[in-house]
Amino acid sequence: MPAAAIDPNQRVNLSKARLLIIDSNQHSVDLLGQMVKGLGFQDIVRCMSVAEAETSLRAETFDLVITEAQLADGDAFALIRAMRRDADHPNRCSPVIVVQGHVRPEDVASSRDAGANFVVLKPITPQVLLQRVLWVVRDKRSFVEAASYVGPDRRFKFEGPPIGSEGRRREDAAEPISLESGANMSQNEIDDFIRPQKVSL
Amino acid sequence: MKPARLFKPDVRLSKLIAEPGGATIASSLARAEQRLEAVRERAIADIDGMIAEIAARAKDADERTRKVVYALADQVFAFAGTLKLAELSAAAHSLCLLLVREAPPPTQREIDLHVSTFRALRRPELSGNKTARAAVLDGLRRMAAAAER
Repeated sequence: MPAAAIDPNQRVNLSKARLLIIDSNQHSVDLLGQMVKGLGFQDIVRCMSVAEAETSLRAETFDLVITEAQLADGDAFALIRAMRRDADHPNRCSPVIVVQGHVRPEDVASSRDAGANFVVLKPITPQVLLQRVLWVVRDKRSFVEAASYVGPDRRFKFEGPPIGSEGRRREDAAEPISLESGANMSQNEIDDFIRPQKVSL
Repeated sequence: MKPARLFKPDVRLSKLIAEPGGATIASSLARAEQRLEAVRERAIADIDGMIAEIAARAKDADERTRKVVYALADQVFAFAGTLKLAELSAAAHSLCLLLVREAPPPTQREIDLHVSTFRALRRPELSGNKTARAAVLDGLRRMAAAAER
C-alpha cells in the first residue's frame, strides 16, 4: 500500500475522543497517560485489570482502546474477543490498539485473531502512537462477522497455498519459502502482519 | 453454517479527529514530548527501582522468579525506550531475549552480566556520555555472544 504523507501542519482534534487505557502497571499507565494527554486526548479512563476493563467496556462506548497484551488477571485477547463477538456490546466495533513488549509471532497472531486493529511494539513514543491513531482513523477495512472471528478484515495478502498442498496457481511455490527463525518480531514485521495504512510523520 | 457478513463500522474517532480546533500534528508531538520530559526524573527513578529489584531477584534461578525478572526487564526495556535511554533499553531487551531462550538455557553468568550492564549504564559518568554508553552495550553484546558459545 502506498505511503500517504501526513502534513505536520495538519490539525488533529482528539479532545472529544473517549479513550480507555488498560494496563496493570501503574508506571506504564502514568507514562502512557502523559503521552496521550500531550497528543490531545482529554477524556481518558484508566483500568488496571481485565475485570475492571470489562466493567468499563460494558458501561460506555469508547472511541479508542489502548491495551497492554498481558494484564495482571489475564490477557487482553479474551477481552477483545468477547467485545467483538457480542452483537450488543457497546464497544463491538471500537478500535483497539494492543501494546506488546517482547513480541513473538504467535503473540501478534493472538492479537490479530482476537480482533485487534493494530499492534504497537514497545517502547512506545508519541510519534508511533499518533501514527497508529491515524492508521485507525484511515483504516478502510470492513468488519468481518463470521462463526470463528469477528473484527477487522484480516485478509490482505496472498501467503501461498497451505504447506503440503501443491496450490492451483502457476506461481504457487510447492514448498514453504522459509521457516520462522527468530523468536522476536520487529515493528515492521508486525505492521506487515496486521495490514497497516502507512503514513509518514 | 451462517455465511460471513462484511460491514463497515462507524468509527466515531474519524469524525472527531477532523472537527475544528485541536492542534497541528507537529505541536501535538512536541506537547507529548514536553509532558514526558516533565515526568522524566520520576520515571527514571522508577527504572532504577526496577533495576534494583532485578538485581535482588536475579540470583534466584527458580522459574517463577525468572518470570518476574523477565517482566521487570520488559518494563525497563519499554520505559527506557520511551525516555530515549536507548542503550539501557537495548540491554533490557537483551535480557528479555536471554530469559526466554530455551537452548541453551540462560546461565547465571549471562544474567549477572546484564545486571552489571544496567548498573553501569545508570552510573552518572556514563549516563551522560553517549560514546561510553555505546561501548558498554557493545561490551555486553560481545560478552553475551562469547557466553553463548
